[in-house]
Amino acid sequence: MKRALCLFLLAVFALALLLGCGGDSENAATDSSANSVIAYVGSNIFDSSLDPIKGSMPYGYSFVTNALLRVTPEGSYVGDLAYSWTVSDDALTYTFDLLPDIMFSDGSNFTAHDVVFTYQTVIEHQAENEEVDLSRLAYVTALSDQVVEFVLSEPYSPFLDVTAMQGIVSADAYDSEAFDRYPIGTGPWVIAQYDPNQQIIVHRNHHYFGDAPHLDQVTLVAMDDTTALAAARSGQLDVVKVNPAYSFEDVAGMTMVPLQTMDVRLLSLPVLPLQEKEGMTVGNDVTADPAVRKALSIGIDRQTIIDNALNGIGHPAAGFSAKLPWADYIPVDDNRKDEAKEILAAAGWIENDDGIREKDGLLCSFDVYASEDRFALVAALAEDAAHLGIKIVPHSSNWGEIAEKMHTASIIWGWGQQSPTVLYSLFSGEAALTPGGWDNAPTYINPAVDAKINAALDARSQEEANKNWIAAQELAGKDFPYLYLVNIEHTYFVRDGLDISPATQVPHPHGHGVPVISNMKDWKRN
Amino acid sequence: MLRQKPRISLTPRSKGSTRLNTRTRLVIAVSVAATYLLGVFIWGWFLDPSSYAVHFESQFIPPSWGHIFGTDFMGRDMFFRSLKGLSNSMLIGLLASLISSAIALAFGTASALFGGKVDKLVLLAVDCCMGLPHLVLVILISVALGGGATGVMLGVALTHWPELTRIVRAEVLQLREAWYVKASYKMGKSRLYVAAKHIVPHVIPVYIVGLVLLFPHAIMHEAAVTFLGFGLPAETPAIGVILSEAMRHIATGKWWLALFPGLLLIVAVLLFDTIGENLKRLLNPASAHE
Amino acid sequence: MLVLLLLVSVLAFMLIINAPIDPLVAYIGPESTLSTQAIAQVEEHWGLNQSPIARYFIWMGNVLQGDFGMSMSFKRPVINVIQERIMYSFVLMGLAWTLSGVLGFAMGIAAGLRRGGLFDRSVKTFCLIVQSSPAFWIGLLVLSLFAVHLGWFPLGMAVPMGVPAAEVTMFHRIQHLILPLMTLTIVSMGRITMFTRQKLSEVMDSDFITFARARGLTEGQIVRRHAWRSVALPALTLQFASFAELFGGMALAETVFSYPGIGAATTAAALNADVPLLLGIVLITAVFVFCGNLIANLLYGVVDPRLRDGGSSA
Repeated sequence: MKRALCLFLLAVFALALLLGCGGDSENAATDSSANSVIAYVGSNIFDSSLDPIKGSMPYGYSFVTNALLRVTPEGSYVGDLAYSWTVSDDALTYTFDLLPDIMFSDGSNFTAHDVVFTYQTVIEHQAENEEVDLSRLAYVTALSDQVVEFVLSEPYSPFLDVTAMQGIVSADAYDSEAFDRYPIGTGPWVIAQYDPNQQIIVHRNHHYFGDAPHLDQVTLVAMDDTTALAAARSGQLDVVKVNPAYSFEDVAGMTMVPLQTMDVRLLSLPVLPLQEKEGMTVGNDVTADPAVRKALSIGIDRQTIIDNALNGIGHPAAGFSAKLPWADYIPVDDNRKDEAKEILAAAGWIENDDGIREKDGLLCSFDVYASEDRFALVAALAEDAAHLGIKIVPHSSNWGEIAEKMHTASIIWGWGQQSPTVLYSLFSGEAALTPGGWDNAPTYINPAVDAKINAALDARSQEEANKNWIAAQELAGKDFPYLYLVNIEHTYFVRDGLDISPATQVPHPHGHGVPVISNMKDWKRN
Repeated sequence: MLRQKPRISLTPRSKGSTRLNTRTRLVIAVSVAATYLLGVFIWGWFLDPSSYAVHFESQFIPPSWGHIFGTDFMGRDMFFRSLKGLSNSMLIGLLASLISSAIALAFGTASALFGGKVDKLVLLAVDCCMGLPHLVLVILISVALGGGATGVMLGVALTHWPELTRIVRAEVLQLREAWYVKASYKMGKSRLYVAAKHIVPHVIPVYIVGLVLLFPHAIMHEAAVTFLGFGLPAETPAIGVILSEAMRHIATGKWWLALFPGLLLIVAVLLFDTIGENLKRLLNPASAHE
Repeated sequence: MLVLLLLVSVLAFMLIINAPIDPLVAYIGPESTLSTQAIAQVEEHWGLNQSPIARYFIWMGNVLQGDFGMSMSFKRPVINVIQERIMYSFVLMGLAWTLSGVLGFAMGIAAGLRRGGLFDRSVKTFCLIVQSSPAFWIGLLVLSLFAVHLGWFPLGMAVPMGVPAAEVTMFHRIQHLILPLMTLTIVSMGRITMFTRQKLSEVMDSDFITFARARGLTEGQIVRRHAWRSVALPALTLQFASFAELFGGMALAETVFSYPGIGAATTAAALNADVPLLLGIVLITAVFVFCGNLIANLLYGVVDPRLRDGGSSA
């Protein structure tokens, strides 16, 4: 009797489950005649301040403020608030000519003083801004209302990137607390309402100096990622960022739009054997063998890994995206299993009875720690690497544990930004062996690479800098301290009739889906 | 108007017809349930990891003869994964119960029997731990221990003892006032004798109910912290991990990912309940002579 | 009470300080390209380079002056972060607490009255299922059924999407409250129902009920005139003591429904190693739970005069 009842209730339970997943709601709550859009682009914009002085939208996808320069979808810099700029021969002085007649969203005028104020406030409060590094900026002055001059203490070629990322706020209106939610800038949008952890409602900025946005209002909502697909199905939203796992689901009235990013996923492979070095425990005996690192890079089948873990969304990558001017782009030529096996055999790694290679009793096996969202990717890699006789043990982890393991195990990272300073973080020997921070996880120390990196940082022109950045990557690439896997794509369900203008989307920097808002002013309803 | 026939009986209430029958039935029920649970636990414990290994080529297979519970997004067999998961969760639940109950029994009995400073100290510790929402405390402990299995296990174990302690203490306090306990003291029996002979047997039923209730609770907490991102790593199959992963695919119609592990969990909890209920009746001195 | 709060704060502080999450690392993010000097400045500003004991005293001193510090992740005073969320949580918890109490008690009485009957078995099974289903699971079920499939209620949040604050009506707020409330009520009902059911059958076996039966009262009359009184107080006591548990369910319900309460902030704070915010929340929730426990303790005394010195009864 009791059992029968249980079964009955469980059946009801199951039915409820099925009902819950099966249906598509017909009621499209959003009225397309109203010129507004409701979007879920990831909840992380709600986690921090919107004030650019405190590092909001650090990789340059702000919608409320403008920087002096901006990045085009092709990856080059053009003027935004500035219409022209010059760099002195000693690369210490940067002068920007600002566009006239620009107004902030509160109707006040934008001048060079606002630029000076913004940068000075960032320097004074560097502790509150973990994203922009102005430690080489000596001072900044307004030569006139329309001209601003930056003087560096040492040449620093990535400074140009800073000027393209740092949003400018109104000096007169600035209020540290209010700007966390209602920053006043020159951008196409102005924050109309900020409901913490719920929604940000933005309206068209009537004072915007560029082409006015097509939409009147956009609402960015917060939700749990697990409910995103349900949200799309409910018909209550117009844009929904989803995990690639959902990208082939049918959602009535919506179409899947994948967008390019400059975000790559790569594994750090410790290059030193396990040892104590300058008071830190670093290295891993298996990944220390260059043969293992090289065999992995040429032997794995990245496309299959992407098909398995990311539903086929994303592009195989053997280096940074070709869209970045400083990237040493390497076409992917992998899945060379036989060649990889030869390399391993020649290095003394012989398969044992379990199909795993061994060398002098050492099993060809290492741990990879992944944040939860990247676990599937590592699991797929592990499955493929097993064909080479390399046993990868994936662990899903948190950043606390990763910080502990980062120098002795392999870690999967996500990097993607316009600024080449990422290369310093990845490859510089100076950045290795610094406790705290996330730089140079493989403890890769190569003076030749360091020389190129320093030459790039100190370069007097972007061309010279990029040449050196590429040279540094070429040199380091020969040692395979990192195993590049994939240049990911972000996936969104977009309501039919809404155009999010993929042509004017910049390749998204790292940002878990939020960068889709970079061109919100070009979105329109057809 | 017809009135219900008054139910007055002079013997303690007995539901079984003969003494042997009831007890035998209870013992059988307990044994069957325990055997099943132990079986799951041991099978899961010794399960070959390759039976629930990643096979991406067989992603999302609905339940079939090859995979009776289907497979998940990494092509892992859900039957074996759930089995291992339940086994792991039972381990967490059992460890949490053991630690909690050991602390609770010791603290509760000591507090009630010795009174005074011991009692005050125990009560302070209880209040301190009960003063925080369980989830917050579990999160704090598991964050402090760096997350992972140890963090969750200790987190769950160290948050459940206060309640059990209070229950045990209250029960002992009540018993201490009972006439037969007082009589026992008057007859010159030692504290230990009284505790063993009169108090512990009376506390056991309450204690076991507490334990049984603790078990699903422990698993729930494991699942909850895992869902929120502090719990077990994804490579460890545990019911909490499996259910929170299933949540991500429920909207895509992969019902089997959530249903079967959920069923396994519910069956296990129901069986634990059966064991608890029956044990209570078996151990209850009031029904000992049924 | 104050001593306990102090102890709780020390306990919480010790736990967080011992965590392997480096607040500095959590603060600058896993993929930051900040220079070493800049990192040192960040450390200095937040006092991260001082000893744990010193940090505790700095913090406690400030708290006593009403300053809970700045939330590292929200970059706002902790007190503000808590303030703007706490009302949502209180309303949600208060309603769920009352509803689950009333419904659970009624169901428990009805089930306990006819133990072993069909209704009793269904109630028991329902309770066990609910108690063995994680709150987030029930939440997602409720969400997919009522918000997606039937489309009766909004998906989440406490206010309608894209509607200016001035136009948000009470109706909107209630509409948004229903699903999280339903989830939290279902989640917290199992315990009280099972307890009432158990307690009632205990009471029904007691001498004074036997006497009442002997006087020829029906079971219904017995419950209405005598038994419920003996069950209500312990049940209420249990309900007050369940504040600690309620909060956990709420954190999960809030996460699933993006309800902007204190529970969601707790997980965010812990994940980001936002020590000041986490400590602030710990203190606030501790006060709240203490109140519940205090009432429960007082009620215990009323239930059983023998336990006036602060015991409990299950």
